[in-house]
Amino acid sequence: MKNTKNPGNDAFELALGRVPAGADGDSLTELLTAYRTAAIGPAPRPSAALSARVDLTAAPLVMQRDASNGISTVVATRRAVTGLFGIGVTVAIILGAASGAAAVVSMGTAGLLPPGAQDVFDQVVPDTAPLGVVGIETTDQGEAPGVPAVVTPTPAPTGDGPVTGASSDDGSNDSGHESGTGNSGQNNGVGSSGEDNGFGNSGENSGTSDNSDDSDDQGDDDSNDSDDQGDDDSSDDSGKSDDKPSGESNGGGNSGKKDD
Amino acid sequence: MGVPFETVLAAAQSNAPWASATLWREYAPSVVGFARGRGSRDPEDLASEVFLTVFGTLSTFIGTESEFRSYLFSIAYRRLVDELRQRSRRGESVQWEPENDLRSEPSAEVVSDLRSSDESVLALFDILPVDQRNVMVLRIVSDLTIEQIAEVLDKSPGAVKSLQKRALDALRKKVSTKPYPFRPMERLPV
Repeated sequence: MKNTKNPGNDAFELALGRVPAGADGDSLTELLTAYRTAAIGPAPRPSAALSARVDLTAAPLVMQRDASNGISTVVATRRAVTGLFGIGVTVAIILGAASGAAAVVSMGTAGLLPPGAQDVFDQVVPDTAPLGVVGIETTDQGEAPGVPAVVTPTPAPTGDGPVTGASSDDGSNDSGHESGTGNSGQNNGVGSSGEDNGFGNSGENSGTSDNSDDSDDQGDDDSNDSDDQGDDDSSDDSGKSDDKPSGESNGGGNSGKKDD
Repeated sequence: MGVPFETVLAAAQSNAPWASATLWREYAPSVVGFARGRGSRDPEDLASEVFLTVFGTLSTFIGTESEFRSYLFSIAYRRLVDELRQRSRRGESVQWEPENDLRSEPSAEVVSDLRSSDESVLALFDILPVDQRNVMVLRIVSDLTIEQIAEVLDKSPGAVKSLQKRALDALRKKVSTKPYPFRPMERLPV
C-alpha cells in the first residue's frame, strides 16, 4: 500500500540508508544510492584562506546530529511506536504478574477463592487475617491508640515511627471492622507498607467514615492502574485478573461504609 | 556518543579551530557533493568559499543542527547560482581534449571508462529540469527534508513535493524504458 501511495519516499529512505533494503528494492533505489555514493566523498582539503581558520591537525571529533534530521514522520513514528511497544511488553509482564499476585492475595484474604484454593491459601498465608484481626481488636479495646498494635505484629519498625507517620490517612481503613481488614490484606499483597498502615491507622482513627472513603479511593486508583497496564500490553490475562480484584476491593470498602 | 552540536556551534562561534574543523569535516563532503551534482567546475573551492562565509556570519546564527544545515546549504545554493550565472555571462573556455570532443566517436576503452566513472553516475540527473535537479540533489546528497529544501530554494513545501514527484517519475521512467548502462550496485563497496 505504501509503495502505491508514494514510491518516491521509499526510494529515498532506502537510498539514504535509513530503511534496510528488502526484496522490494528496485533499480531506482539502486540508482539513487549510486548517485549519493558518487557525489559524497571524503572531506576535501580547505582552501588557503580557510585553512587559517580550520585546524585539521587535531584529532577529528564525532558530532551528534539531530536524530530526526531528514527522516520522514512516518519512519520516525514507526520507530517511536516500535520502541514504546518493546518497553510496554516488558512492563506488561512485570506489572501483570504483580497485579495477578495482588488479586489472588486479596481474594484469598476476603475468602472468595474456590474451596480448594482457599484452603491452600489459608495454609500458605496463615498469618495475614489473624494478624489483622488481632491488631484491630487491640485497637478497639485499648485506650492508647495504635501503640500495642504496632509493636505486636510488625517487628521491624520502631514503636513510635509508624504511628506518627502513617496514622493520619490510613488508619481509617481498619476502622475496627472486617472490611477494614480486607483492605489491609490488599495492601499486604501489593507492598510491605500495607501492614504498617493497617495497624497504625487502626489505632488512631477508628470508626471515622472519611477514612473508609479514602480506602475506596485507593481501591479505585489501583483498578485504574491495572487497567492501564492491560491497555499498554496485549496480555489479556493481566487485564482480566486486574478487573476482578479491584471490583472486590471496592466492595469491601463499601461494606465498611455500611457498617459504619 | 560524540560532541553535541550545540557545543560545537558555541565553540565555532568563539572561533575555536577545533570546532571549525569539526563542522568542516562533518558538512564539507555534502557541500562538495551538492556542488558537484549541480555542475560546479570546482566543487572543493566552492565549498571553501561557502564555509568562509559561514564562519564569517556564524556569530549571528541561532538554531538547531537541522536549521544549521538549511543555513549552510542556502549559502551553498547561492554560491552555486552565482557561479552558474558567471559562466553563462562570460561563456566558458575549455581546453580542447580529444577524448572530450563530442564530434568524434569514443573508443571502446573510453566508453568503458565512462561507464565506470562517477561522472556517468552524476550525469543521471542531467535529464531533469533545473528545479527538479536542485530538489533531487538537495534531497539525496545534502540529506535535507522537504521543508528544508523549500527553505533553501525559497519555495513552498508543496511545490518541492511536486518537483520531487515529477523528478522521480522521470527517473523511474528512464530506468524502466532504457536500462542503465551499468549496474550501480556493483560499484558499492562490499
